[in-house]
Amino acid sequence: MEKKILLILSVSGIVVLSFLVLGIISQGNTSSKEITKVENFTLKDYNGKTQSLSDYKDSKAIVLMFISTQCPVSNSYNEKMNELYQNYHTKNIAFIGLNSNKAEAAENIKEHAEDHGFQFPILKDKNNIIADRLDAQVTPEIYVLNTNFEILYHGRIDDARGSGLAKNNDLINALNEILTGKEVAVKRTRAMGCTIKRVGS
Amino acid sequence: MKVNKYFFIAGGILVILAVILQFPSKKNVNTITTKSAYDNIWVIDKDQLSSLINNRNGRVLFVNVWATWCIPCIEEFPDLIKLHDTFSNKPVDFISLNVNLLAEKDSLVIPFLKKKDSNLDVYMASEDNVDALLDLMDKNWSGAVPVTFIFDKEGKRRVSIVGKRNYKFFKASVDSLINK
Repeated sequence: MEKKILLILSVSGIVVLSFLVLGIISQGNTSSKEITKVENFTLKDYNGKTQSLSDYKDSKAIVLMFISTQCPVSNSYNEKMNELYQNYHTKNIAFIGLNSNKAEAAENIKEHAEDHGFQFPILKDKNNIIADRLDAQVTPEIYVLNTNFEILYHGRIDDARGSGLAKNNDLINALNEILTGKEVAVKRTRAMGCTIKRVGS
Repeated sequence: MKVNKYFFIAGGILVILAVILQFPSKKNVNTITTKSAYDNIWVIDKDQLSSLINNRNGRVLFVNVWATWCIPCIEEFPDLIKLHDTFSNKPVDFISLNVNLLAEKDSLVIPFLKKKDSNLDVYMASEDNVDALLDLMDKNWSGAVPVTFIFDKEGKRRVSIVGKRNYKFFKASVDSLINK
């Protein structure tokens, strides 16, 4: 038995070292695999209240926003997220914040939301299960879904990259297109920001 | 069966070594005094970057993508300066690709580089079209920074690292490609 364990450990060690020596390594997740549909999920918000994606099924679209309390890029969008919510929730577009960072507990998220006057719910994605399911990598990162939870848009809020100087308002463009019954022209952009800090990382 | 026993012990040691290399120790900060003024920053377009990547001439290429708003990027920056100095006489080229907006070059990027006493060659995207440059390195890269790509002497991307690492880790990665 002892020999078997040692044998497994030996082989694993040799394989890992071989990859390191050969330089064929990939640390972290450089790529994002594209998914087309999100399955319903249920999480608790920062008040401990359970919410499901299906609760928002009557909306014209659902905006999922992976955000952070600590990421400077995410925080640079706090005001814009409030504006987006104010401008679009009255048009029956739902906004849901998701916090998947392991070090950001519900009480931190609540305090941060209150400090910044967020009106939209923020769900704690404990153990980054939903981030893994969607393969979300950064904050802020956006997924816009239709009522069948199919992804209509995935990517950045805009191209300001933390500067507040946006030239392309990709999320707004997508929402306006959805509201006018058009197909979203730019369905995918690269969301640049802070890595989602996953459990075990 | 003594030989087998030693083989297993050696294997166990290899596993420990592998784990150590995968999880680098705390950052190894080094302060280097270089220029007081920062003049090695350039705006680069897609074709120019493509040329830099492809014209390897037997040299390894180390590309680190960072921004001033990225805290882990800032934390690993001193280690990158140290790494650059370590390989200054070796067949390795360094590209420090900043992804702040070009409009922030004078207000944020250059002051940061001066503060860090950086001697790195820093590039920024022309016309704020950073996506085109990043696609050259990895079209599927998610957008998380810092990210580091290391290309071999033939210009083939061999290493992709998302997140902060330290001098020791980066050096081992570069060494493995220089010695190939």
